[in-house]
Amino acid sequence: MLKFVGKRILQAVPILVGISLVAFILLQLTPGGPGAAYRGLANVSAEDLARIEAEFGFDRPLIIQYFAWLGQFIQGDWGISFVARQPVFGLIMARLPATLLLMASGITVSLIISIPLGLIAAIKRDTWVDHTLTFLSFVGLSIPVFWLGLMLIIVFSVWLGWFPTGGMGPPGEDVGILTRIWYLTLPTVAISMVSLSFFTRYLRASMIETMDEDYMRFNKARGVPPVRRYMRHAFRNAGIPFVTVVAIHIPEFLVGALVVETIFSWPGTGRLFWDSALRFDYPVLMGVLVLVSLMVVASNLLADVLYGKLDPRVRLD
Amino acid sequence: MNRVSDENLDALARDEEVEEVSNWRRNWRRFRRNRPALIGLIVLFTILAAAILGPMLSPYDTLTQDLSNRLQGPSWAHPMGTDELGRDSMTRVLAGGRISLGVAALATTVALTVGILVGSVAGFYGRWIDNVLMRFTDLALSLPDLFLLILAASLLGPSFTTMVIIIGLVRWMNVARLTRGSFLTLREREFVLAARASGTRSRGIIFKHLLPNSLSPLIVAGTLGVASAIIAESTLSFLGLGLQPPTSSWGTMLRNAQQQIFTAPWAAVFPGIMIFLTVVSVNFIGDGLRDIFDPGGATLGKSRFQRRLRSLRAGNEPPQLIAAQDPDAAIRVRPIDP
Repeated sequence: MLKFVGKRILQAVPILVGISLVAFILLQLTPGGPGAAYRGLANVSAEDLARIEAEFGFDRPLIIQYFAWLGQFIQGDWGISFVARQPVFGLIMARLPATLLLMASGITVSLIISIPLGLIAAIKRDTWVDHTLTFLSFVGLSIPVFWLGLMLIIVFSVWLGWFPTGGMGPPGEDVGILTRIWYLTLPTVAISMVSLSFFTRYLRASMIETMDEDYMRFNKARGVPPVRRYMRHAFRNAGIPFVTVVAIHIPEFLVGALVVETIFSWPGTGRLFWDSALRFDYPVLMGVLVLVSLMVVASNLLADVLYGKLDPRVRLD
Repeated sequence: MNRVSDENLDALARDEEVEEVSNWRRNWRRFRRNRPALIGLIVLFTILAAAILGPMLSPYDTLTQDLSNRLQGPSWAHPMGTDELGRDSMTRVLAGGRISLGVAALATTVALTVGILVGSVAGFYGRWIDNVLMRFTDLALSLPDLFLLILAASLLGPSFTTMVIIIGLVRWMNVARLTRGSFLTLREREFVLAARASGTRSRGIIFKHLLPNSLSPLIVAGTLGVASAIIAESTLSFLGLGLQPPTSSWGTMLRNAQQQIFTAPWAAVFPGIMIFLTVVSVNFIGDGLRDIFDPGGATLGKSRFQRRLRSLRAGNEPPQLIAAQDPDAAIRVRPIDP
């Protein structure tokens, strides 16, 4: 097991190097290059600029700059934000918990809703229940997240006044769990819709495939009661690829969080990324991009490990 | 000796019959049976026609302002109301559809072109080329698309052309994987070996034999790609990093509407419904096409699961010709190194 995880991490190294190269190249391509933070400031003369560039090493060959940058990056020195004039690493990490909270809430709600729906659709296959659920999942998959968020705000905040229009809680207060949930409700609905539709469809397909297996027919002939047949025999087997798919799907919640945070003024990394894009704050953009890419690699790794752990037919080595 | 060549001829004949996509009548019949797909097609055509003809037939202009009629609700004169500058929203929504659909169609073309190119080269030449290209594809897949889009839009500045290119360039990876996968299975098939043996050039094999037989999954992927491109463009524009006024797509209109949700909430309804209807229709059409090309009902779930299982078991080896490994075969066929 450990050996497999180690091997998979090693296999991820080229991708990690690739991600770092992409980030470095993009940083070089930014208008003004990496030294742009100091350019154009009134109190920085041309000589000062040259001195600063020499000090930061911007006049060295690119390859050396890359390794220097990489070394700093690994140590958590992600550069200085053009706008906030603070270390990028700290800025991002301060925003990360809010994003993780939103993602966790979205994943939990998607699973709680999609698992029963997927099971029901598969068990009631080819009935009106199944057709309705399949149709609704198509609808859910097709709603643009940002529009759903906008509509939720219009209906439930502006019109009915049931929920706040955005933010994580009333400013300047220590927020209790109920208030937090109250503020989380609409963003969670928005971030979950696409994924829960996808999960429902996937689980249905996976269940149907399992239910067509010979051993399921044999179980039926043997007189195993339906609940036991569906839950213990079918769901257990269909659940394996489902868990893998959920793990692979985690990055979609990152993308969803970006949109949802922007609409609901949720102070997370996604909102930070958007703000930085509008203000051309490239060091922050690079930092977030690398961070989310690392999360993608991690969730793929998680998917592989879970798959091998849950399915005894697959041997990991 | 006879045994093998007969079988091969048989397989050859069957292959080309089964793989043929051009049986329009049968396909259409099957497509029609999928009710949602048929309705989707009708809705999509209606939206297309309205977007193309609507602005021409409308008595209003998309840019002429009428400040005495600002932010009117829906009425007979303005079925979708007016915007903050008194322009007729319906005319603008229809005209915006041209932009949204145009960006989506062109971006999908870019994605298909790049994806097919990368996938064909990787699948046909194999070996280290395949390895390099597929690692590159993996890398591209591990950068979340919306983040990349926002970064690119921020770097390159918003315009119609940049939208098309950047959306196309974050969506080619699946196409490349599909093309490569299908090339890997096809290139060891008898009709390809026969073409090779008779001296067809690589280019001929790719374009005459491999690509035409790989089309069906690509058609489905391309259709679904249009849906995701529409969402990508409108999301970017909504976030203020896409098209800028006065060029307006559905996403740009929703961005304006967001600033008026307290005074004119209906303004956010119509462009969103258009996006939603288009995307739903395209998704249903894609589903109908999948029905045609994959009548066994192999769903997304099945194929992905099987692929993972297979690749985990086989350590990612391309399928080999059975005859190549069978020591008793009358003819020994060596897999051809391209």
